Amino acid sequence: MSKTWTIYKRELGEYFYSPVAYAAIVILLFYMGWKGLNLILEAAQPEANMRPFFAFSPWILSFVGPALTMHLISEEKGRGTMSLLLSMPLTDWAVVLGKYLAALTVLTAALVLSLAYPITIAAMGNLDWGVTVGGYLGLLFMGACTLAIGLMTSSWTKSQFLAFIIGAFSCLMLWELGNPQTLMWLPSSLVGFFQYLALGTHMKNISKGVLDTRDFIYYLSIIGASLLLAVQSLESRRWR
Amino acid sequence: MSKNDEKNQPTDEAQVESKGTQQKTEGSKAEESKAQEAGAAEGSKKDKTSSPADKDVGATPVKDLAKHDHVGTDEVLIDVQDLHKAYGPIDAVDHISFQVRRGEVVGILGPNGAGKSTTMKMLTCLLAPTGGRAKIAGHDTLTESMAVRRSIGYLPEDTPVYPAMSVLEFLQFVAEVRDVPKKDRKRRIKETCELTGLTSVLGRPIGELSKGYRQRVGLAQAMVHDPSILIMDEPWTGLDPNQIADVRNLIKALGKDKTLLVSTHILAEVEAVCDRIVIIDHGKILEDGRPQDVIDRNGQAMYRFEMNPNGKEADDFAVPARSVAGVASVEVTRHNGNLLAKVVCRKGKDPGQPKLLSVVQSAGMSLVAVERSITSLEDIFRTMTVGDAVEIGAAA
Repeated sequence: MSKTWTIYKRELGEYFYSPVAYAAIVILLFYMGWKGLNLILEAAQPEANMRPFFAFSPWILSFVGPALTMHLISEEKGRGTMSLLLSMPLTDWAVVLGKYLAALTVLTAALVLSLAYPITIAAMGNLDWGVTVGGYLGLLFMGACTLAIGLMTSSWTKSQFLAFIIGAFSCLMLWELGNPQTLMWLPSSLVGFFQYLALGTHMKNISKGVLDTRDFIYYLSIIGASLLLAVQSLESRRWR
Repeated sequence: MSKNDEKNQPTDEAQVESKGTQQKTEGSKAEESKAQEAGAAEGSKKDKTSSPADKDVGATPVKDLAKHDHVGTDEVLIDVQDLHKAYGPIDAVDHISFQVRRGEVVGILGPNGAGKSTTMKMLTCLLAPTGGRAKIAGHDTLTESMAVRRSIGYLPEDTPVYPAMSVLEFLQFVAEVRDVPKKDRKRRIKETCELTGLTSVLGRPIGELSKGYRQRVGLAQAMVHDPSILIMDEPWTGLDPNQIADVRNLIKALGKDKTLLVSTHILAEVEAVCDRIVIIDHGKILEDGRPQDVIDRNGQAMYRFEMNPNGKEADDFAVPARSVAGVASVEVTRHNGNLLAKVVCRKGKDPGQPKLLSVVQSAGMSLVAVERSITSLEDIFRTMTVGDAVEIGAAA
């Protein structure tokens, strides 16, 4: 576990030098602010709530997550430092987990910064804090998923760009699965299944303030499976 | 603390040597290095008793004796048996076996693509062998990977580093991952930086350093945890002659109390630092032995005569000389009225100078000068590893 911490510290330090990370955070905050602006304008009305905010913000995470994680493994592979790292006494899990937690910390920090929007709205009108807290919890879990998926695709290639494209595409697909326009074409027996698989469905539940274990199990499974595949990808290098 | 002081001693002395006492006479150097070796043996004996890999070592007088001869003890620290790695239909490493004993500095020589890096990657647990096995300090690379990784320091090819980190941050990171106890970290990093000459650039980002300094950072990370075994893949690549000399001195200093496996294709360096060389090509071992033994086994003696022909023809010397047993080729040229003859002998078959001189005499010529030399390790390496090369003079 201490090795995970060592990797975590190094990766977090690296984020401070990463222009990509800053750009991703700025884009996230800008987009959320843009969505939030309407709400702030409506805040003069008696029932300002953030539901539309949480309905439209999440899909941007499909880009932000992979943007934050694309370099994590692919860059080390391309630079050769992965050989150095894997020749040291630490497990592949420590490498993957340390990197993942560092990315999660950066995303959490960005979300904390975006709290400026609900706080502004609260200052101007009535804010439903239940919905806000639920919404943020949903954003955090969904973001955690996109990071895990991004880390997984980063472990597949030496090219950061390719890692980003595949990662963002995977996240968007998972998001789109729950889109009514997608579901419309499916046989009704499959609709429920696809809805369960979609990233957004669970986000909606949580942001309504409905905290169901099934939604958390879903997110945790996506995270666990993605990280496991990343570890497998590192492990498979030895057998090539 | 006394333990640390004892350990410091050889390190500091080694540093003095590495920092440029090349002017010193060979004699005084040899004396100094003997003294150091005794110190190093002392230090490593006392310092490493806790490591399981170092059990039962150093107690026998054999070790000290061996240290002076610089060939290591009988304890095998790197044991490669029938190691095989196939990439599809290509055998990158084709069933090789060799051993490296404690205290030995072994050079793996081979042209690019010979299988040097693949072998090293298998030894450092980065690649799983297709067949055979490798043991490092008694641990199997496949089943006891963590124990293997703990006992080695590794400098990968092309010296990968994290460019955004400063030298100090990077070494702290490596020391942490490499399980250097927290209380020793500062001391180890300081010692390592002094040994590798990094003290002046500690705070600089590695990405801003010159290639030579980056190479030093690579070396420092490989030894910051004071491993008993160091595996270095092409430590001389891309360095200028001064930097090559620096790395040579560092490896010499390290070789005093560590086991080193170094891959390279710079032959002068191999001769200068290695106790033993292993020549590989196409994944197979072609030679394994001390550099001198390899030269003795494969080298060809070569004589150059300058003669006053006393009115005789070149063939009067060349024809009888060619019939001498062991002579591979004779070339005669004229220069300022004298004859210059180059006589190359067959591998391991030198007829000797007197025999050739008698040919000169019986040809009725008078000798002006004679010089004997042996084909170099480089010639031998080229002969062995270049597909269409033939033994020098064999065609003649």
